[in-house]
Amino acid sequence: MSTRSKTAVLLASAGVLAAGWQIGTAQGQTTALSTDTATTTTETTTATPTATPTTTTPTTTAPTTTATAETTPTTSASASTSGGATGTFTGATASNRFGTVTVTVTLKAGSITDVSAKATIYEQKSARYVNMALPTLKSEVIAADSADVSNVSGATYTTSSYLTSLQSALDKAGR
Amino acid sequence: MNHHFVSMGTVVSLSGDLPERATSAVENAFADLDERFSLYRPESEASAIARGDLPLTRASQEMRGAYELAQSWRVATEGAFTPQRPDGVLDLSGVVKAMAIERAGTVLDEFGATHWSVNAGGDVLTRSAGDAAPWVIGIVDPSDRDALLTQCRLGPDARAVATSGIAERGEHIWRIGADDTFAQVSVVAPDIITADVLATAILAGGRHCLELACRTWSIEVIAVTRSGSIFATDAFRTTRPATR
Repeated sequence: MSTRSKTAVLLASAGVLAAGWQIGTAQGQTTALSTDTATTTTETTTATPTATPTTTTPTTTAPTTTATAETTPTTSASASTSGGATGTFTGATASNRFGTVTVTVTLKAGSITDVSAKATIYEQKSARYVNMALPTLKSEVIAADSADVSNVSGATYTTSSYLTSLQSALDKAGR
Repeated sequence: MNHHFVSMGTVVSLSGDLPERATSAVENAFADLDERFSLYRPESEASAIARGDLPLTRASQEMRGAYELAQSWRVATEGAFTPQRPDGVLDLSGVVKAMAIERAGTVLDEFGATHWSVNAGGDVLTRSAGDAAPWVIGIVDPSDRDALLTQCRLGPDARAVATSGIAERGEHIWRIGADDTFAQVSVVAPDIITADVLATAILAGGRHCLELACRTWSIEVIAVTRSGSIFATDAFRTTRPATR
């Protein structure tokens, strides 16, 4: 197994584990739920290794405790001139007692450009927690529209720090 | 209309439709609780208990009620929220401010106010008149307290938001790396006591308590770690899962 393939497998395993943990509380009926792509991108950015381009077939077996992910090319997987494979590889769907997880890895010239996990959980009730099991990007958080804001919530300010607080400004403005 | 006053070491801001005399009644509600529960007043009942001069079993009904409330939350949060300081002294300030806010709300209701907000040091309870626009509450960015991280809308089903954080204690050192302990936690809940207690509990109890709280109570949460990662329930997110 090449370094690149190992890396892909490692990352896929990490994805499976992360997604597996993400659905860690579900039981009951099946509810489809896609994990947040941008969130996954965050994970990828942190974990993206410098892949060494080599020419091997991108078929690997993931040695993971959570799932056996047989990565097979589902789209145009090809070895480029630089030696690295390009394409999107989707692992076998793994299931555990919480639901199922399918991990997809995208390679470009041997480098991992994206990893995404699709999770199916068995219980709707858990969805609210599932959505916050992984960090979200600041850009995905609803922005404050200061024109509408009438009050400010923050860690308790002291009487003196109130004077420089946003709440003080709103109070002065009579909002 | 807008009114603010100092109590419990912070500033309380009232806004909305505030009937005449209601504001002084709200001030009295805060003052009464502060007088009994403040550990900064040597003459308070709480200070007498802290010194060991007064056993809790002989304390006032109000004191024992607050203690019971705090203890029930300690059990419900698996110890993440506790009315005990690390040195063992009983400290009910974790519920007393929220109790004061709740009482202030009752006072405003009794005075006939139909659209109001009470903000005590960053913890907010609102009452929304049916036809009025919902209250929009900004949430401070813990990495820049002059900026807002996000906002939430409070209405009849979610009347309160409370935020707990370490910023005010001067611990706002933003480390690079995988430190996922929380620096600031905001909780939107149907009532102010649930919001306040759970914000404190999640800040203290971390990811485990966050999971517990989200599964147990009907709340929305946005929590920021010391390294700046954000964990948020749907109400705070622009992107929702494709299938629900």
